[in-house]
Amino acid sequence: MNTHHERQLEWLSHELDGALAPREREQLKASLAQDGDLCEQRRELHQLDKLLASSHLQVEADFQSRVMRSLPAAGWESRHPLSWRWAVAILLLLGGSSAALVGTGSAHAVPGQAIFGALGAVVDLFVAGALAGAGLLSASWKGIGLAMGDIFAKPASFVGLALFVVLLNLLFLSLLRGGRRAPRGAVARSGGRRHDDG
Amino acid sequence: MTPGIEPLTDEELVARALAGDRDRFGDLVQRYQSRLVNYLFRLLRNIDEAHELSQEVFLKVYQALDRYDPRYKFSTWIFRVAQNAAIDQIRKRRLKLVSLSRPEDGEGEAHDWDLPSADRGPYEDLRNLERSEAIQQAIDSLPWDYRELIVLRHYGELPYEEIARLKEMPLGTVKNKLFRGRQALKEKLMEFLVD
Repeated sequence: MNTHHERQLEWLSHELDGALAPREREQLKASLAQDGDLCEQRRELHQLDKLLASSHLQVEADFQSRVMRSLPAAGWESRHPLSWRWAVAILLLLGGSSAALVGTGSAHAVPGQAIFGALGAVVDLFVAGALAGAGLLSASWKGIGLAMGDIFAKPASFVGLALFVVLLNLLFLSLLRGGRRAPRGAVARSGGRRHDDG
Repeated sequence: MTPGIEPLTDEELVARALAGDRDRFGDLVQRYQSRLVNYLFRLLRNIDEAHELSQEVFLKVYQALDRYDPRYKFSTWIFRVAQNAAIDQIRKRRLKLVSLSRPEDGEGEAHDWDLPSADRGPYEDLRNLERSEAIQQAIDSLPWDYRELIVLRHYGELPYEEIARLKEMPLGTVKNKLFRGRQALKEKLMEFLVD
């Protein structure tokens, strides 16, 4: 097969795929008008294309829905802004409310100086928090003190408490002694056996 | 399709799927399912495997959708994933064959790929079956690189440029190999190339 003929055949293949340059198409057209064999090759090539196209399989009817049903939650979905919208909305709402409250509270503290006012309000908030904490702490110590005072004020309660403490100590002592006694008993039993044997 | 309304491009569908519209990924599945199943079937020679692997390919693509680079064609990307999946599958089969030392379904004999027959008589069914087997045998007899290009072009319906990018081959090589592959197929299938 000569090179020219082979090139013409290759052009037929490119023509089938719509990938032939206009100038080549013109040349091929001229060759086809003169060359019966080339026409036959072209017909066969188009038949081959049809034959291969006719052998396409039908995809299973429910294939698409099966794929869509089996789609996992992809990693990028959880990183997507849409999945964060509620969290962001709540955060914005809380932030906005806080800003409004702090702004309202500080507006009358230092009028005309919003930033200093806001800072002042934040400091006030911390101070109030610290005071509240100290109050709670002192209240709890005060509560313990009152309870103790109540116990010491009534002799019956005092005696009851003393008895409770003594009983608790006795319980601890008996537990400690029981722990020591067990090995001693074991030694005594084994010593007795030795004596019997001897 | 509604007249006057341009269908969305693959890249637009990907962008919408990434924006949270899952159904647009369904459109991509609809658009590519036939091409992928046919491409994988011609490489694997087993319908069930082709469907299963196509499904896996879609899942892989979906999971990696945020890593898709829109500078490249979506079709090139999805066929690259499919090509790798097919190669892995063929490798697994070979391993099985070596370890069991017996032929596996779909590897040696292609027996479950006759075309669907609707409203045809027994003679036509037989003829159709013969033709299907002849096509598959002709494709199988091609050297692997010709075979891949023929399958990508005729069953994957990819244009030359995308095949060249996918196979990392010069465009001229793709054109030439396709031409030679077709010439070889023509010779083998001559009896079916009648009007």
